Amino acid sequence: MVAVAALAIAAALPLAAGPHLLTAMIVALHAAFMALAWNVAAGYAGQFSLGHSLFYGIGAYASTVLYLRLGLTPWAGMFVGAALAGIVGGLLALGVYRYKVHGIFFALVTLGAAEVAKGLADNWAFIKGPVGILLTMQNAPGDFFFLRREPYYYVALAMLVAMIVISLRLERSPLGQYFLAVREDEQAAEASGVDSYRYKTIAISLSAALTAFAGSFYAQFYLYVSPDTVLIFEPQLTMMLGTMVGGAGTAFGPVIGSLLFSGLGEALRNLPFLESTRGIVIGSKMVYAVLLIVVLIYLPGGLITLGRKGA
Amino acid sequence: MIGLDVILQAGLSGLFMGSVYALIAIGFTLVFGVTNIVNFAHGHFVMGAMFVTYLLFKTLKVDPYVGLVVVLPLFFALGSLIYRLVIQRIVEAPHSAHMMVTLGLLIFIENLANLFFGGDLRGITTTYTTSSLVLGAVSVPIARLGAAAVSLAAVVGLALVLHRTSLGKAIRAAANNPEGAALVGIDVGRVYRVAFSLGTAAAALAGAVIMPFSLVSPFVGGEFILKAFVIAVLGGLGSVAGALIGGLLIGLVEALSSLYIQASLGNAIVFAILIVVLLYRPWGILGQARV
Repeated sequence: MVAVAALAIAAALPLAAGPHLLTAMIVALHAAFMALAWNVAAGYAGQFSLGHSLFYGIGAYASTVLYLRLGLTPWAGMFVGAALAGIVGGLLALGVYRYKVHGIFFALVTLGAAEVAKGLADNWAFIKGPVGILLTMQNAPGDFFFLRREPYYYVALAMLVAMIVISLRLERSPLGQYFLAVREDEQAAEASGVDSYRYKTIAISLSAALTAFAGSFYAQFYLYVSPDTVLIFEPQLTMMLGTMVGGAGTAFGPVIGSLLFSGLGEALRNLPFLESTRGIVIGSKMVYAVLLIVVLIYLPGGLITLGRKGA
Repeated sequence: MIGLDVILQAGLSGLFMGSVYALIAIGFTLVFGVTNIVNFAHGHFVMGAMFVTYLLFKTLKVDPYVGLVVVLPLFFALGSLIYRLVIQRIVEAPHSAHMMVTLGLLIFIENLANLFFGGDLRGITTTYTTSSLVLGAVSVPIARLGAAAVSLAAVVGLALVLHRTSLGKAIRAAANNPEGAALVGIDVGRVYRVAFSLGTAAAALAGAVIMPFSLVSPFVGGEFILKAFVIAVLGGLGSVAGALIGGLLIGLVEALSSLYIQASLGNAIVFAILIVVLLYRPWGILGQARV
């Protein structure tokens, strides 16, 4: 019931929102999707990757390049991008876990992988290096281009709903249970016959593929892809902020966290002492930072644990 | 064809910058070795000290080296304050929480700097900013030589503190075995705080001495922390001697590779080295050296 009501409200929101608010809501839904995609690896399986911008970038570049070079509709291109990111993520995980890299070292290796990818993309003429690739604004729904904001909103909403359903199903599936077992105690999981090498690899690969969908959406919404927009740390940060503040390893925590961060930015916009846009952006980032620190100190399980304690 | 003199020149400036990187990385690796915390905000302490040095020079005409009498105590105290307010409360938490909280610090510091100074690159011009000593085919820039000399002296100083003083003994004891250290009467909490403050001051020292020949903006911190990661891992996380060698090595690789390839590709190579080291020698190139 709650889910149906929430969905009905979400579906009706664009009717009441102006163009500015609508954009903010699209960005919020997109952030929540990314957070849940990262959460598959970092939250459920405990594999704290710092290199997910790489998979986001693969998604953004794959659908864009396939559309411009081969005329493949990005609706299909995003699935190719996801497959590609899944393969890259899987291979990376196979290599990294083979050498028993874990914890902080795993975080640094994945961060390094994303940095290497950015350096390579900056020097790869085929994808126009640091200049990046522009898409043309047009009315072509069949190719994932819309002139109005509303269709993007509904696409972002549908993607997020699908992502929540995937997360919930994962939680209840044997695969999800294996992820949890590996996260909680890898040795114990191994001892009871769980092939941790295999499940960690699957977690990264799956999470990478899902993240790539977000990258493709980004490209279609902003109509521009470059190493300095999709292969930097920013997308990774968006995923982590929402997930860790909302509650890692849950299907709704990352959504709550992401919507909260996006909502905060909007709320700060209306404060009297922050008049310039620059002030708003800087001010909201400082508030995010304090919120992040406070939540992690006092509510290590994220905001979602507040609800659990009350219930 | 690139001449030998050019290569020598690049190698020299690589070693100079490498010494500064080493100091930054040693601060980072000291904090990790002792408290087990990976401090993502460490590079932003470098940036903060650059801005304080900039401000001292622009408003009071204080030379960056003279300004150290303000910058070092200030950042030691700041490190201590941040430790008490934030770090202390998450020392026992998992690594993921360490990373997120220090990322939070990073975002806060970066935006605080952005609020006060804006996003433009700023620099200062001291009397020695452009002076050089000419030695045969190479010219030695005074400002960079000074930065390297002070950094190396600080590294030696830190090593002496760690190995020759009772404070150093307490730090090493707490790093190797916190429970045992507590049992023999060492105030482990205080040792952690001092180590964090020392690490912060090391970053600040590096920031101050590079100011005569560097530009600062709120966004330069990321560059330093990425270098510190690579160097600390190369030397073995927690190893001071390893970080010194790693710093010089990365300085050299950076300077020499810039002669032949794009900077962005050079960066990719540095991170490829990081990955290879993490896979094959996660304890660093020197072996299992500890603080």
